[in-house]
Amino acid sequence: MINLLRRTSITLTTAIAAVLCTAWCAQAELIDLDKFDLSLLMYARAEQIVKSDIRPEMGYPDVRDMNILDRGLYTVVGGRLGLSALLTERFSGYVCFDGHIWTQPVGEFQPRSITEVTSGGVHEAWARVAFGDIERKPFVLTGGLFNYRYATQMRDLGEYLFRSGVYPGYVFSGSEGYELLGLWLKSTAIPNMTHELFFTSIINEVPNFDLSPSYVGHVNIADVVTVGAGIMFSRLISVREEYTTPDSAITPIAREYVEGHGNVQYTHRGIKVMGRIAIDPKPLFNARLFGPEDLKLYAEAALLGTKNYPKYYEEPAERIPVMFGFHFPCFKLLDVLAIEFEYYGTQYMNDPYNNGVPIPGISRGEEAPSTDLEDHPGDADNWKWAIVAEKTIIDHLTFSAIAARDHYRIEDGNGYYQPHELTVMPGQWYWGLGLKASF
Amino acid sequence: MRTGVLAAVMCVGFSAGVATAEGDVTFDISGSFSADITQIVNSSNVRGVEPANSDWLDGYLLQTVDAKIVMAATAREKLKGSFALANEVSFGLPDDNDVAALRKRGSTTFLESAYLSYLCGDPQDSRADLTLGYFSYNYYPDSRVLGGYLFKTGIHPGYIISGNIDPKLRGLLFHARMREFLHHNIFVTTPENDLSLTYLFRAVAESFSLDAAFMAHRVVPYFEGKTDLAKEEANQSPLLHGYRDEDGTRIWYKKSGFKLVGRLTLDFKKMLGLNEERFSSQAMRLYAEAALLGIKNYPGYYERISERVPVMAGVSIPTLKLLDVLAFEIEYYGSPFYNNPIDEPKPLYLFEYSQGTDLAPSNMIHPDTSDVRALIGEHGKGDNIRWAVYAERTFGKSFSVGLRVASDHWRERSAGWYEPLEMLHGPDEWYWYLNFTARL
Repeated sequence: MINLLRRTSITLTTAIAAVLCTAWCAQAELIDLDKFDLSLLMYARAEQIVKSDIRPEMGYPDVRDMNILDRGLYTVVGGRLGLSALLTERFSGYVCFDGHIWTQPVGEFQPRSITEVTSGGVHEAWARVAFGDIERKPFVLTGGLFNYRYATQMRDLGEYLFRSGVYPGYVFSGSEGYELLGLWLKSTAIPNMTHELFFTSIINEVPNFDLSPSYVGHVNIADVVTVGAGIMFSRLISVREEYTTPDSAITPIAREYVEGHGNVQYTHRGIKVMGRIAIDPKPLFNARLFGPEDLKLYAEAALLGTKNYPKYYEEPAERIPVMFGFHFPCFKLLDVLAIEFEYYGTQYMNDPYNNGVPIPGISRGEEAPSTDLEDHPGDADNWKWAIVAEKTIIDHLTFSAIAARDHYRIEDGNGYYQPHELTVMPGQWYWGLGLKASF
Repeated sequence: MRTGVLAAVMCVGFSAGVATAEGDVTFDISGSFSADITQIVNSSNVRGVEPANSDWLDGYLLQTVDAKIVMAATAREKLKGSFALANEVSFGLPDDNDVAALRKRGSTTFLESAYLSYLCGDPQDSRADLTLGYFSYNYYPDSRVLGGYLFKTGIHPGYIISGNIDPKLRGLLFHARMREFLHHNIFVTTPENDLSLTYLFRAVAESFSLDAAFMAHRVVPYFEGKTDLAKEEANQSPLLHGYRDEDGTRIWYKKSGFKLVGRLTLDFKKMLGLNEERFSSQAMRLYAEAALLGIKNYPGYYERISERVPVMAGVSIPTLKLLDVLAFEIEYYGSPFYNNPIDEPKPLYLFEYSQGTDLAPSNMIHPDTSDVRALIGEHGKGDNIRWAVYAERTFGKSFSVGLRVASDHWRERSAGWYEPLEMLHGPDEWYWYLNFTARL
């Protein structure tokens, strides 16, 4: 990810020049503009953390005011410029640049410290080729950096297969899809079934760049029920094995003596499995009064690591996040009014980083991370919830609102998120308003 | 990188503002490419690693190359979205602790602007419009270096930013036009996540323009009510500074305050009825601006109102179209303190920021600042005058060359704005700057 971003500035200058040249060539009628599509997305969000969670054991020993984030208003303003090209009937490409500016609530978690941060770079860049019948395109291969979702009815929680880790099993939330870098083969050759194979590089969590093959599939039953499943062989191919499976020479804590089990070597490598179901009853009756998103009921569960390890990963039930949601009927007054719940029984803090060690821990700044259960939330944070509403007006403007206690995280300035959740315990939550304009 | 530059140069000189329509949406793409070089001729600024060397910056060369792409989409002639992304490659100042003082290469991609605007009423003759997002605002088109105080200054302490980059605002602008030349502008902006409210009145006629503005700067603060003041006092937070009133009660300075700004521009070509074909549109214009950075006096640093009033004036000389503009600008700002943005609500004591240890008393309450003024000494008066000379010429429709020689509040460029530290500390410290820009 870091190397990708370093190349971004060079890539951007070249891409800008390429776009401008394309524009000049178009003016000179050297190329066919009909094969190119422009898109522009503008977005703005304002979010207020009503009550948050900062604790010294989370690595902020200098914080004196545990309520420093509370009632603060954080804003994001940005846009995305997209250029898609249908170069032949089978071959297409897409590049999208994102730029946004946001406020970072506390720079180093000191009182009265706030930073405005600007960020820009490649959001998506991929090429796509279709095989088979040109009308149906039963096989489509995509390669590059692309945003992916497999359950678009989920508005905040869920989509665990890619929005999670394994050993430790952390989960993310949010309405954006997940960035994948690699290859994606999608097949719709069998009617009512979709099969997708992925071979992707892990670019957002350390250790970076390990390669993972995955499969996602779903069956559509009469447009009423969708059943899906997936499996991910996370970090099957390691870029540097000593980072994926830290041995005692580098990170002593990755190998522990456990009574009755001897020396246990922990690893980031593991298998995730996912199952989901979505029900939309509207095709069963006259649903003229309802919006296309109304009455959808959906659920998903995943197992983040099929193998048990002594001490930290003994109970599979503690590695199974489960979510369910429902779209209330809005009768077209709103596009969506969704309520979602999640139960995730892990006893440990839901943070992806522990100095690169595959053991759940809470960072304590310069001290060694704590794996003591006393320092972790335990069962107190197992339940999460989110309420999301959306409304589109004049075809181009979409307003949204959210209130949630989910896995809220602040951006990290490198296209991803800081590891620490901010709404963890009961009573901690946030609300937000959003505006998107798409052209 | 070279490929990109060459490709961009190939496109230079062509007006390629491509417009394409899709349904009810029209797209416009434009861009620019610029390269500039700056040489600091004389500066007394020092670095942390060698505080006794005030000559290290003399003769220093800096270069910047940047490219920008702007995409605008308009739906139904009323709703417009604009997005601009920029990339800047710079060879700038070394790190403060780099003993070798090697020029540092940096590259940044950043958001230049992202906003929506909506025209109220008939789009062909709209009397009001609303802008929301992240956008630049320039009410001072004649000022090339100095001025533009409304959004390029701060309060408590009162600092000034100079230069040709327009300030970027994050928030909302409502603009209404009464008659043909009276404009009312209301801004709701969020500097540092506080909330500021601004009203700007503009009377723009053919031969003159008059601007008057009032700003409630950071009037709704982010941290008020969200922090435990007693805890901060007990822990001697470095961001708390204040004074004691007559009863001995501690009063803390705040970052919020009120600004007043006034600006007048006169176009002598139109006033005197001269043959305008002989002169460029920007020639023979006189402009002046003044501001009050903080209406209310406070004991300590903000006792004297005269120390919070920057004043500038400028004039563009006629060149019979040899140049588009040749302008002279001068500014007086009587603040005795260091002119830099800072998180604390009081100015830095030391004139030389890089010299490290703050020599002022360590407690947070300062009953008077006479000791501070004694420390600053003549430095505080020596930098009150600033000046700039600017010339620009456009070739064709797209290519321009600009030259600036100035002793202003020069700061190193960074991601579309400036680093906080001023590098010139007197009218005898100056630089020159040469810029080439191609617009597509």
